[in-house]
Amino acid sequence: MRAASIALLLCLAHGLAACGSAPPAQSDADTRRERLVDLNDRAQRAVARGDLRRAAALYREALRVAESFEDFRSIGVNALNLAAVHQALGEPEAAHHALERVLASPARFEGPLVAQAAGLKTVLALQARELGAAEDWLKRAESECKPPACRIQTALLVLRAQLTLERGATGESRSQAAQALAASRAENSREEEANALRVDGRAAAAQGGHAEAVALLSQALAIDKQLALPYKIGLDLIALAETEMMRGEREAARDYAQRALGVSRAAGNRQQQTVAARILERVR
Amino acid sequence: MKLGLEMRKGVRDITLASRIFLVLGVVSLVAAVVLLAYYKGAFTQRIQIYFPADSAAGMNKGMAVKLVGFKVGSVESIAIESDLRVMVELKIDAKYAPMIDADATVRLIREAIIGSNVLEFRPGSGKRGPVQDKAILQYEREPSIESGMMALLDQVAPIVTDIRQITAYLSAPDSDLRQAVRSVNRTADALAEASVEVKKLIATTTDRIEKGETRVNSVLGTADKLLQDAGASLTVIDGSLRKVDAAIPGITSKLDQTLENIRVASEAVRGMVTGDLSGVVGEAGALVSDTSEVVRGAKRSWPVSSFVQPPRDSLLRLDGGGGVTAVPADGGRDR
Repeated sequence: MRAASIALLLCLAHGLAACGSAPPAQSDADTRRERLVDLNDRAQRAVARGDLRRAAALYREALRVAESFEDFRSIGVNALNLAAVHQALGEPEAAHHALERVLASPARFEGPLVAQAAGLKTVLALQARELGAAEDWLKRAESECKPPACRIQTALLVLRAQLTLERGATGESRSQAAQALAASRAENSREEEANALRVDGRAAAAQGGHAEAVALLSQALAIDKQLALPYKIGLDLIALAETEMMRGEREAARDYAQRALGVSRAAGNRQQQTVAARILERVR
Repeated sequence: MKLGLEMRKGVRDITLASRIFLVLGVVSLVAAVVLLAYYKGAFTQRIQIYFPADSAAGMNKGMAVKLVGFKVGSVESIAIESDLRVMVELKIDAKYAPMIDADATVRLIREAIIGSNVLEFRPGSGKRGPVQDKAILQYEREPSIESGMMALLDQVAPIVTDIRQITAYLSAPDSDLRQAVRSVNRTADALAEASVEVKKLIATTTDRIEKGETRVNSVLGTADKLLQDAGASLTVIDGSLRKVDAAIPGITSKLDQTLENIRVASEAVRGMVTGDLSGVVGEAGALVSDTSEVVRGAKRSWPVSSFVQPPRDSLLRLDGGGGVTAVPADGGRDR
């Protein structure tokens, strides 16, 4: 009996040894892909710690590596990431240039990547207050985004609400913002929740509901501070300053604008610095 | 006969012996006289020096004459002249003549307060050379204590006379001084009366000043305190500056030492980096590389490769508000 057990164990060991094998030799392509993934990971960690300059450099290097062996998926991913970082740094020209890598030949890239590229174009157009272009890019993003592969529907809802607000349709904008707020809470996206609250607050202020606007914007500010997102904090403070200015609270407006200027300076965002400085000049 | 001969021979012997004794005595006496004369300077060459004097008081024949404390001669004679002046003749050892100036003077001095008088040569200018034989020198007498006292009394006597006259003048009842003193007394009485009024005035004024300027005094007191504090602070600052000034050389030397230490340390670091450390780092890098290679091999090996997803670069999720977050588009939050 004992001899039989030992024989069975030996057979199992031989079987495992036979199934196991030496790993296949690593090719140059695998090495490059590993380097690409490593650069991408490091850039993502730089974004997480707020070092956007470092992140841009790493994404740029990753994009160069990806282009060296025409890995279109990696080209699209790193180009979009690089564009997002430039947009957050307030460098729209560099962001547009990065997005051209995808949008110049969208057929080479997957639908979700093109949708996200169009969504980023919408953001840049809204920042430049080019509402017609924003409408075009947003429509394209919405058409390219097919669930379940595309997961940016909530972000596109926020962008739609913002575009509607910029067109002056405050009531419609608030309803779209409420829809985006519900979607964000459904998918537990705190970033999009804050975005929806911000748009809703701005729309409320435009309607004259300054107190409600301040409450909504303060909620958005609280979330963004929890997530430690400097660009969003700057947006919230600027929106609060504009709201206080609308209802004649110049002192409060000056305070919010001063805080927005400080945050944008610390984050290195030139566009927000300009906007905050302009508000400060108006309330002086 | 034989006895007679023997007696005559004895007389001759005695006569011879007496003559020899007499000759020896005379020779001894002459030798003693010569020796005495020699020691007394009888055989010493001397020169004669004369000096006239008003009086021969204090001088006598044989009196010693000294040069810088050494006896160089003596008074040979003191003679009175027809004009009642005294001429004194000195005999001086010729060998000291070159040491005495031709324009030297002779002074009568007392060797001590209770000592005897001596004559002493006082040096001259030296321009006229040494004194010659039969030269005539000037004489001067050192003032004695008695003569000094008499001269002092001669000077004090008129002063005492003047004091007596002044005292008599001041004591006179009708003198100007007494009248002036009486006038001063009357004025003092008047001033005493006036001072009472002035005191009252001062008291009133002081009271008003104290009442009216209390705040000024307070301010001045505060200012004084501030000045004292400032003075103390300046003293502290001055002391600190002195300490700093004193410490600067030490600090400078310490700084130099520190810089030298830094230089040495940097040399050591450079040596480590270019030497052992680079090897250690290289080996560590190789170890990490090997480890990564092992891990990668394990990932690619069966059965691990079945459970490990192939590495993919992640896309950041689009943010509807703009900006960027480290959230992958195809996954959950990584924070």
